[in-house]
Amino acid sequence: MNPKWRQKAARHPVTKAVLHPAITLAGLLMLLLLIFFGTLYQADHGLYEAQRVFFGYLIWVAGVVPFPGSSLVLWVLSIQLAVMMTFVLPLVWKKAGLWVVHGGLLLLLVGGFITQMMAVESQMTLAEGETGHYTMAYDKWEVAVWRQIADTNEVLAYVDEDLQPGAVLDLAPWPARLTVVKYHENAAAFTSTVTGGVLPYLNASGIASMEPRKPEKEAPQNAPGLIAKLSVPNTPDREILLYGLESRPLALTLGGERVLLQLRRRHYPLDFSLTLKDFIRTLHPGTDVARSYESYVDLHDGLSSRPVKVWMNNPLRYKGYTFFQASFAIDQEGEHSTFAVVTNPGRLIPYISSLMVFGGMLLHFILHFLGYVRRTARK
Amino acid sequence: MPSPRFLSKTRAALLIGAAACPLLLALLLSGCQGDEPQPRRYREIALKSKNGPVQADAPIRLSWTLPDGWVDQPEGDPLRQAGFWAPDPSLAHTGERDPLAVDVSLVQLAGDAGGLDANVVRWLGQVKIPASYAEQVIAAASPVRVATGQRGIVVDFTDILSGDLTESKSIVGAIIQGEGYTVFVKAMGDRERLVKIKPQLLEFCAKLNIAEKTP
Repeated sequence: MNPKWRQKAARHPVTKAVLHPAITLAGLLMLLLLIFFGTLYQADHGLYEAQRVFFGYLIWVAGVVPFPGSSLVLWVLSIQLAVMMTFVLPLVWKKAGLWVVHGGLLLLLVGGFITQMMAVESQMTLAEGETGHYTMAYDKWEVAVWRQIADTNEVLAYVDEDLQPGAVLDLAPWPARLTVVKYHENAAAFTSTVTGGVLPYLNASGIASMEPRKPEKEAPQNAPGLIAKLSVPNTPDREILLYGLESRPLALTLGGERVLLQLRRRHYPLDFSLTLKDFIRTLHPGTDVARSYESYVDLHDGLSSRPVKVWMNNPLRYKGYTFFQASFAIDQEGEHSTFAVVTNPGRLIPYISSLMVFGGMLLHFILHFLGYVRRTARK
Repeated sequence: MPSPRFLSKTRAALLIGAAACPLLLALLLSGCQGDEPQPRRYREIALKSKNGPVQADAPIRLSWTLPDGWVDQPEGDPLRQAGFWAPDPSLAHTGERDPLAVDVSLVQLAGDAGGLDANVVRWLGQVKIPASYAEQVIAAASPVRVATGQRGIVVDFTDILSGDLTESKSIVGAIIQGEGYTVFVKAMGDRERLVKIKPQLLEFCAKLNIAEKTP
C-alpha cells in the first residue's frame, strides 16, 4: 500500500526537482572528478592537505571559482536517497529488494559522515618496559597546562584551532590567561646564539626567536610555534614562546602551584593501558629488509591483565580502538614500538551496507524471478 | 479552512525541509566557530618506564672543563646531562657570534644503552648517512681516554657524505662504556665547523671526569 500523501508528495514539483536524475548524475560525475584531481593534488601537496581541500564543502578553484567538495556532494546524494525512500519508492513487497539497496546506500553515506566527524587517528610509541595510558595525534596540536599529582596529570588543553591571534585562553583554575600573539602552523626556532644571547621570551629550551615556515607536504612533519602573552594578576605581563619540537615543558608557578605548559601533539587518554614487553624485528637473511615486526604487549584494564601479540596486519582491537603495528625505532633507551591507533564508531558500517546492497539486489532478482515463474505457470 | 491540496503541498514542503535540515546544520556547523575558546579537561597517567628514569640509574657523577669559547646551553633536553655551544675557535676571543656553533651534548645512561653498534647507527641516521657505514665508522674510530682513566672510542662522520646531499650537518662523538654505564659526548653541526672544533672536543673528552659512585 502506498498512502495517498506519499503519492501526492512524489508528484510534487519540489520532490521532482530534488530527485531530478541530472542532479544524481552531476553528483556522481563530481565525485569522479574530485577523486581524480584529489589524487593528482595529493602527489604535490601530500595526503593530509588533499583530504583537507577535497573532503570539505567548497573548493575554490584558482582562488575564485567555487566547486562543490566531497562533503557537499555526498550530502546532496544522501538527501536524494532519503527523499526517494520517504516519498517515492513504492511501499510494496515486490520492491523490497530496492528498499534494501537504497537503505544500504544511505547507510554507506551515513557511515562516511560518521567516520569524517568521529573517527580519530593517533599513535602510541612505547619503549620496552614502558606503559602507555594515552595516544597522541599525528597532526593536531594543543597547548596543554597541567599539574602533576602523584603519577596523574590534571590537564587543561586548548586545541590548535583556538590559537588565533588575539584569542584569550583562560587557564582557570589557575589565576592566569594567555593571549595569543602569533601562531605558526610550521616554524623554525633559533636559540640565543642567533640573537646574540638575548632571550626575549619565557621558554624551557633557550629558544630566542622563531620564523614561520611553509607547511610541510605531510602535515605530521610540521613543527608549530606559539608566542603568547601570559597575564597573571599583580605581576607584569610576560611573553612566552612554545615550540612543537621542545621535549621539555615550561615550568611556571601560578597561584602558588607549580604547573607545566607545553605545545604538544594532542593527547587522547585511554581508560586502559598497554605495556610493551618485547619488540622483535626479523630481517630477511643478509639484508636490512624487515621480514616482520612483532610487539608483545600486556593489556591492562582495571585489575585484569592479559598478554597480546600485535604484528603486521594483525592489530589489537579493544574497546573500539584498533592498534596496528606501524613502525619502530632504536635509540639510547633501546627498542621502541609505534602503534597506529584508530577509533572509528562507523568502522563496521561499510561492511553492513555492502552486504545490504548485495542482499537487496539478490532479493530484487529473486522476487522478480518468482513473479516470472508464477506468470509463466499461469499461462 | 485550507484546501486539502494546500495541506498536502505544505506537508510535502515540510518533509523536504526536514530532510534538508541535516545539510543546513552541517553547513552551519562547518562555518560557525564559538567566540570563546573552550578548553578540554582530562586526566592522564604519564608514561611509565619499567626501568625508571635511565639517567638516575647511572652509577656515576660527571664533571668537566670547558674549552676556550664554549658556552653552556640553557637546560633543555632532560636526557642530557649538559649541553654546550662550541663556536669556531678563531672567534673565541673576538666576541663575535658564530651562527654555525656546534651543538655538543653530554649524556650518561645506565648499562650499555643499546650497544655500540645501535648507537652509531642511530647517530648515522641523525645526519642521514646509511646504516651500512656503521662497521666502517667503528673500524676507523680512534681511542680516547678520559681524565679518570676510562677508555672509549671517538667516531667521526665528517669524511662521509650524507645520503641527502642537502644535509650539511655531521657528527663527531665519543662513546665511553664503563661498568653499568655509558657516557656519550656528541658534537653535531656543520661539517667544516666540526673539523675545526674536533681538537677541542678531544681535549674536552681527555679532561672529562667520570667518578664512579661506590655502592
